[in-house]
Amino acid sequence: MNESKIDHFYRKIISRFNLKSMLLVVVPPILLIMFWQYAADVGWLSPHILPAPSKIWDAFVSFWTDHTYQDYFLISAQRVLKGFAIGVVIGLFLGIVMAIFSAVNSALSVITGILRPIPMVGWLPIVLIWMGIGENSKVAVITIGCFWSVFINTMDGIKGVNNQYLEVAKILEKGQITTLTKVILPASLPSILTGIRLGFANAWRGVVSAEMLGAASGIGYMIAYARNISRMDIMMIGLLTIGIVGCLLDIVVIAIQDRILKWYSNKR
Amino acid sequence: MRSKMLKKAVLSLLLVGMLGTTMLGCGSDAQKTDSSGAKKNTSESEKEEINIVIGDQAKYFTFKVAQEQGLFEKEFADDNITVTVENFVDGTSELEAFSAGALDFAIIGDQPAVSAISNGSPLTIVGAYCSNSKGYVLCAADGSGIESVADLKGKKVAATSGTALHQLLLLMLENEGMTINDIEYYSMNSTEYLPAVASGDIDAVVVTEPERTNAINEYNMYQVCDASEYKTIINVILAGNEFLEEHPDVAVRMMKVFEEANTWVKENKEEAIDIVAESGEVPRETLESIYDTTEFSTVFSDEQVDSLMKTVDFLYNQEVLLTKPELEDLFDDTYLKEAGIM
Repeated sequence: MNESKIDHFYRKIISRFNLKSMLLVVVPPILLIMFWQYAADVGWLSPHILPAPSKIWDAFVSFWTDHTYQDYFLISAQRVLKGFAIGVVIGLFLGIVMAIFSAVNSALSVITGILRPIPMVGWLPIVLIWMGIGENSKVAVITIGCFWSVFINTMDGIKGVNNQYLEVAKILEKGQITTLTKVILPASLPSILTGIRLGFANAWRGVVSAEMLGAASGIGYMIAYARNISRMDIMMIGLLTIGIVGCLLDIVVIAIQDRILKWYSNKR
Repeated sequence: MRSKMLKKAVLSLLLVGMLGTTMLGCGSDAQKTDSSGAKKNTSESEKEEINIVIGDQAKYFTFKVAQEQGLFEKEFADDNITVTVENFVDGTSELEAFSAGALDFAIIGDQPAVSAISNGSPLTIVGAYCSNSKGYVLCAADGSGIESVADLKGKKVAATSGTALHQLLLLMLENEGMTINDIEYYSMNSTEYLPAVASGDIDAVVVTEPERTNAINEYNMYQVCDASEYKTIINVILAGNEFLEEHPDVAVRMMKVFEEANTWVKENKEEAIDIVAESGEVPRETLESIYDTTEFSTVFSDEQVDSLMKTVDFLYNQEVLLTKPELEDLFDDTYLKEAGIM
């Protein structure tokens, strides 16, 4: 598996926690915020289109002080975790089954091929009608968002296992279950974990769409409400929350992935 | 090693610069888009072409009548001024079009207008469109047991957040000594309400036309009460400040056209309904209901002004507004006065 430059960059941060690396990570965003604030202060930016960082911060403090932000964040996080867990389980199961049993793969490939391109947002009205406006529909949308990454990467990871490993297992007369659990799954683990990582990112992004379905709380609801009342500062709080939390979680997941895959090295 | 570090530092700075330039491009008030529906107000003299873009919604009468009756052509054709009417699904979409510089005028609810102006959008209310309190209603699902607002306690109620419907719901609850916490509130768009009712997920909705007629006719709901007991719901004519500053004389003439169209609508009910029904987006029966519950007026009455300021109080108390505006911060009557309408 080729590692992206972003993955490589994050791994450098985690493995070599030094001042130079930290400066390269921290300085550009700080410079951007400073430039943004300056642009707002001198009137280059219209507040109704892109509010100043200071205005966004003031709105955030207000939301934090009355606990609205914390409540919304926790509700969204709960929905994401539920959807993610379900998406991973179903994605792993279906990915493994379709990768190992060619008959199942043949039977389901057209169906999965048709369903896969449908974006999360496209499922919103259907899920609303099928599952109502309660928590189940929101979790369902998030599950759909997470599922495909896990499913595709699991299937590709298993199908991409080096044939030599399978031949060795055969020579050593290992049973199917042992081959699956001791050879195939460990060999495909890097791809599976990448799928899970992408699935988590999609689940977190999906909460914005999911909470437009008859919600009264959550980060996605906050963004939709801010849109209706022309409060760009609140909308930016929601968007930045999605972005920053997603980035931090990505770093954490990579760290976990590295720990699990100590035997796997992908130096550039 | 050093050259690698230097290269990364330069690339990082370039990225910051590019992002900053992109933000400036997004944030500039002076930017004009050039996609379809966007305006090109490029002239300083009347002889150059001016295209005025007006935002409309399916259920509104005035702009459609003005267009159908040729009132825009009659007023502006000799001056090389054209008027384009663009359709939107709701006020939020209209505000976004204003922000993109793609609209000059629009009919919109007072609540989104107040929110936008108070929160920094360069917009001004230049006139009224109508009052329609009887057209904003609380509808309950068959079998929900809701006979009055007091029966909403513990029920599942939908209303689009941040809109006049949301405000109306809160006023209804407040009148019964309740708050939003006494119900299970869901924020939903108008297209989502009624399927949720059909699936039994929602007990009551706060709606306006055409959803009201759909709710009663298609989804077996019944009306519990309307807004007339709580608040005068008004719609206003909103204009972009840039257009008003560049073409104040044209804005005055637009108000004359709006007044003429509004007057025609009031005097020609069946013909006005025919014109609006032509688009096919709103059934004629619904348009009749809208017409019968609407008081068309380009000039604000005292009652409407009072209602507008109540909207300001409500939004400020809900911490929606960053500042609390006065009437003159929202509404500029210059154009109505110079048009001889007030």
